[in-house]
Amino acid sequence: MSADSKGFESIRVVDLTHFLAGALTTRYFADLGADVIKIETPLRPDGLRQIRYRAPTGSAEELEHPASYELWRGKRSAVIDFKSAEGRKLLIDLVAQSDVVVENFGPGVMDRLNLDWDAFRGARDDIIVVSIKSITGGTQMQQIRSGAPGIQGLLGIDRMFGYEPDRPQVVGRPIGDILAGTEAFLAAVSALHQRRRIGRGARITVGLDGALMRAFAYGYVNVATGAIPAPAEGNRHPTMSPYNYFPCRGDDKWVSLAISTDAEWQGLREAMADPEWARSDRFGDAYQRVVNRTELEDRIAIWTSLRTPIEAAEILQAHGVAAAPLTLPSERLANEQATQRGVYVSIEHPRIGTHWVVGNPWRGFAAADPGATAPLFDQHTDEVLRQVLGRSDEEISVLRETCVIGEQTSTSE
Amino acid sequence: MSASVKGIPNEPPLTGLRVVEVCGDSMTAAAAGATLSQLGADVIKVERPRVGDSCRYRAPFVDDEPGPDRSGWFSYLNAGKRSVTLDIFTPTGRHMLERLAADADAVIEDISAPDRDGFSEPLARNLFKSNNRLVAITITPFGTTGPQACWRGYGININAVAGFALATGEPDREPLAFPGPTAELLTGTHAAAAVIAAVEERGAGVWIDLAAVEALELANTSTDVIRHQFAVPTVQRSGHRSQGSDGFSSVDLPCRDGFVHLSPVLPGQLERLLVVAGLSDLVGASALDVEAELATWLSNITEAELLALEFEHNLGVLPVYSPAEVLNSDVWANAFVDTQVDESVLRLPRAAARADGWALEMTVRAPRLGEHNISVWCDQVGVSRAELITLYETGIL
Repeated sequence: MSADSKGFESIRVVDLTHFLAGALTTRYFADLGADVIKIETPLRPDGLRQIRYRAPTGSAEELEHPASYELWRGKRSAVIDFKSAEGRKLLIDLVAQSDVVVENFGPGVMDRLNLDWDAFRGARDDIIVVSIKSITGGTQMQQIRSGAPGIQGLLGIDRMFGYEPDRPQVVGRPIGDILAGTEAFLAAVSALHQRRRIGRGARITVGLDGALMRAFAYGYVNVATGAIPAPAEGNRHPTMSPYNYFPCRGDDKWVSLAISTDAEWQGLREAMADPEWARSDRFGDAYQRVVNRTELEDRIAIWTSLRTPIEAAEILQAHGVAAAPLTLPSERLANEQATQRGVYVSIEHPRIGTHWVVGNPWRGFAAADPGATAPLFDQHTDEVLRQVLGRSDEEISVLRETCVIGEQTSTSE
Repeated sequence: MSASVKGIPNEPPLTGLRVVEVCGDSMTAAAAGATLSQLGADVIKVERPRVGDSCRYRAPFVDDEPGPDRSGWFSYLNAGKRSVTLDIFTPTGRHMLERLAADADAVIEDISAPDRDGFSEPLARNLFKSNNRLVAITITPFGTTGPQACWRGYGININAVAGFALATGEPDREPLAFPGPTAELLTGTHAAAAVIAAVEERGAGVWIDLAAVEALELANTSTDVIRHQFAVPTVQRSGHRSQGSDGFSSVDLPCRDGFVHLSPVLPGQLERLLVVAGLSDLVGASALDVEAELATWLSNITEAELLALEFEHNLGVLPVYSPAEVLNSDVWANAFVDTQVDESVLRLPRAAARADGWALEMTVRAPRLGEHNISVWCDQVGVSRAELITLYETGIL
């Protein structure tokens, strides 16, 4: 490790992203203390600002997308119309003062704006530019415009699991965005590592497709080996049995339970007060438990259904059995384990007040700063122009009057 | 493919980074090491003597023929690494691990509390204490502190707590966890990002205590927790249909020769789709009526025909491919890389990031058990051949 390592406080990131994937990439940088400047254009605020929620009953206030409070924390907001010549110059000047640029525009947008790699590299020779795209494979396929769920389907994720074969299930989350956001951070920080060593920047592309393939390698590894794949059958696991969600007392309450070793099986028997049926050779070793999985799981479900998820999990864990409740957000926020470990960080937002966000889970460093709120639109434009670009107050007010920077009150297409 | 691009020498970004990986029975540390290895790091894998990593015994095997060097999972997660053996639960083994880590930049470890075999502290924490230049990470299901520090957890348990299973599966059936070891792989990628960030952050080292549930919860964007605070409804299980509370709705439906993902949510897509399907009289009809009519229309159309229509009109309708279709498609030819396994060659996913000069061909097969004992223990750490043999005979390595 070289002696000139100064950490992330000397790193500046130009954040040209919108919606989820790129915002997560730059959020990691913000949690590490980097100066992340979120750029929006006057007439095109981030899409997350445009999806509005009615706040809870009793308040007339509208909320921005809940994810924005979490993903934008610790960043600065600068509004620059980089589609204009003046604004483009400001952006390029900003890149010249920065280390990393992250963008996730749709196909062809960067080229149309004349903001390609050469433009950024002209501003700073060792710049690291990260582009996040839906699809990286196939020139025609790259043109597809789709949200993460469509890409997840395309990549075969929906057909990797289900209750029976040939009935695809959707992942009810835009997991492709989140995976790509993390992969893009990993790539960017790896490029910083390389830059420190050999003084070279990088032009990086990360696709939702590639990120999904790595995380959901399950489907491809099966096909690649030429093995006959086990048909989709709920949560069944090839070697662990039981391995499932089991119904508990209450409406739609579940506990997860998994057994791998004979010692864990002994623990489960003890937890259930060693019923007669559990002493049978039919469940006496891992092979028998896999073969007789259905009967075994049906019997365990009778035991779990008399208990709440947390009661069941605590009894089972006390006997050395892997078990955990299917946890609702309200339960998670109150969870003693999460609280003690500081999973949630309380943040004071000027518009929505005090709220909890999930902090960075790297216990030991890079904890989210409780003072790090999500910026309001245009909150730091003047500050950034003054501090980073050395523009005078007069210059700034001219730029504002000519609509090159800042929120616009009247629309002038 | 070693040609340099525009004078840029081929060199993956983590070239020269030295990583030691010690695996428990979870696949998280192996996945973290794989992530770093795919970006060029030199990863030494420490395996149990005689038996090795439990992942060597994990199906699928090449051509359904079991064997410790034939596991698809082991090959995928360990290509390009070096393997040494060591019984880390002996005093001698512990001492040798310290010597190995003395030369490393990072140590990755996922031995959880119940498997720590009498040692009171997380392994990586101990190594960090004796070498505080080291970036050391311990990955456990629930974290090494708090009332659940000693809880056991496998993939399905992690899924349960992190919130993904709430939104996956049919509403009237049991929730579904991610397929196979997805939660573990995702945690591994997250751990790798933490390790590189720490290497860049610090002049000194750090010990990172990463809980898989917390990594996965972050991957959930955890907006569930924020939504809850502002009484915004959380996303429920909805089977083959995805109903976000963002007004977003999409559904997987059968077509003539497979399945399609119907998600015409961008401006203009639904209108164009109805015109193309000859259903323009349904503009403004209820979502369920529209879906029923579209389902009939789709049942007469193939995946390929739909894709052509998507390219032409941008309708928000995409095929739901099978993993085999993706693996064998020309579109993603560059997303997979050939990896030798025993006498066969497998095509497996490669690093997600592409950059000029970063290309890393994963042609180096996963190591055999202890394949690098001599080059690592003798040539690198400085153990003599005579010591090595005694260590081998006494079962330490």
